[in-house]
Amino acid sequence: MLQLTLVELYKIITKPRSYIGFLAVTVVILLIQFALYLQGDNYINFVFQNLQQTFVMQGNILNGNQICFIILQTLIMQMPLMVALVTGDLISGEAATGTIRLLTTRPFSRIQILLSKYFAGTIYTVCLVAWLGLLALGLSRLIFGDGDIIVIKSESLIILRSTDVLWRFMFAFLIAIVSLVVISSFSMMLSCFTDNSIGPIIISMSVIIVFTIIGTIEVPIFDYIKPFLFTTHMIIWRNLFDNPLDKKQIMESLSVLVFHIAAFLGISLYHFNNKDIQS
Amino acid sequence: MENVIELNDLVKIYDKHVAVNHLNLTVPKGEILGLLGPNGAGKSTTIRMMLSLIKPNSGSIKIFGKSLFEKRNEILQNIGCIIEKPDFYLYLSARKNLELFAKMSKINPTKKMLDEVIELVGLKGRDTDKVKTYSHGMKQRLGIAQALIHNPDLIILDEPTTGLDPQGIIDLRNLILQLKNEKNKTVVLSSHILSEIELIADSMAIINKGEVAVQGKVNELLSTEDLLVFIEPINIAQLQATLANSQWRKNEVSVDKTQISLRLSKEEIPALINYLTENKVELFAIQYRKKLEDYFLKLTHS
Repeated sequence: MLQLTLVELYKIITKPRSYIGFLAVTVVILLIQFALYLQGDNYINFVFQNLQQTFVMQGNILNGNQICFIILQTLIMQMPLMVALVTGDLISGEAATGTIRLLTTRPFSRIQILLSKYFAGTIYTVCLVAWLGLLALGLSRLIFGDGDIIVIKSESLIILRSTDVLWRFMFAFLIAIVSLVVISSFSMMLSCFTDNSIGPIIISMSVIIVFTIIGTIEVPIFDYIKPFLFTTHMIIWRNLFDNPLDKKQIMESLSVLVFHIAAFLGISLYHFNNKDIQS
Repeated sequence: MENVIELNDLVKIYDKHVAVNHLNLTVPKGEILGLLGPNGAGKSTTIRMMLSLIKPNSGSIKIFGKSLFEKRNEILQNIGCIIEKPDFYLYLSARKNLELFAKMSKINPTKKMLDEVIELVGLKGRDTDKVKTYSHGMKQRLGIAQALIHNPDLIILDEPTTGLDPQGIIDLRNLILQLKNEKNKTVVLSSHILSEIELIADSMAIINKGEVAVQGKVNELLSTEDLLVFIEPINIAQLQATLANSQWRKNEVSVDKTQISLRLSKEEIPALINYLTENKVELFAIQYRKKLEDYFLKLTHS
């Protein structure tokens, strides 16, 4: 099983499309950092212009922690698309190229084959988030230094001390991993149902976009649906930057995400295990 | 003789279409079985069921004396296969593909093992090239290499000669015979090239409409058949008239501008030659053919 997972990881590593996500994350983060390095003061003045009329703001406001927070808000909803690009291809890509026939005639059960792909996809997701963390937090702190974070909510202003943010970021990245594993499970489930390589990727992306739009639009009828959409719970990482923490809400959202992972994986295992390989 | 494969009462139905209909088949150890049948006869479905790619609706599959449904992994560990067309990870080299497939077969391939199998299929010197640069024939050779890399006892080859050049076909034929004769491997070979089956198979099974129409030793099956005798006379009209007044009239199969063909047993040929000589029919040639192709067509068209 370990060997099979390593083989799957090797396949992901050697596939050029696996690097699109890393490249996109790198480019976006470097662009944001470059822009803020040059014109960060303008950005801070624009964002905090109302506050500056009421408060005297002193110190290193444009610090690494603040920039990481800005990057996460910008990038974290685009990450699922990058994950789906790889995980949506894991089964259907093999079916499209025909290698699924050779893969499923090896001495491993279908469940082992699917789980090895799932683990490899999860490791890829973890690596992508780790890369995001390294660049968004590590590099930003290296360039812009340490400092407090100012979080502007609709009805409140939260200032988090620099000594109080690192653990929040770590948990935010962990929640990001869980959220992205929901996406990888979802796209892999779609991947089990088709022999077309592109279909599951496009459907995954479309579902994420539609769910996100539904989650954003403030129409009462959607309020009934929102709690059941995984995208609603994927943004729960933001709650980690509340003070005090709403632990109950975070745990509830995490539970919903884990339930989605289990459901998608269960459906995938059942279908793939009983599927006739016709390609 | 010990059977390596035993298929009993196998049924596969897609919606309302019966692809395999109560099929029974046995393959003795150390034999080369040629699997024949027209398109859509159920050959590929049968092969896919043997490899657990497709689940039958009913029936049993025993390989190496064990149920495929109960000991799937153990059985597949000892099977090498090519199914329809050779597909690989195109972005990897041939050597890396072989290495991955060996690992997926639970073995850690040494450089020597890889070198040997690469040389065996004639890909030495191109093994580090990416598979996307390979021709179809080269991919087919690589397909054979991946089927052999884990040294299986049973080799299932579905249309392995597709895309191979004449030399490649001869090489493959020799390789299959070598595997059987020197390593006592059992081979199931499905092919549309009937002459290939005729040349290398010990036994054959013809599948038609999802059933085994006939199974047996190639020589025994063909010997029960009448021969196709071709008579090429100097004067076709004279031959036609002579035969029309004879007992051979009922044996006529076809008449064309230059020759008449008859279906006869071998023992009847001398009497036919005597009859034609007595009636002064001059001939350019008389020859007979005992071809699997004829047997196949007769069986599948009936």
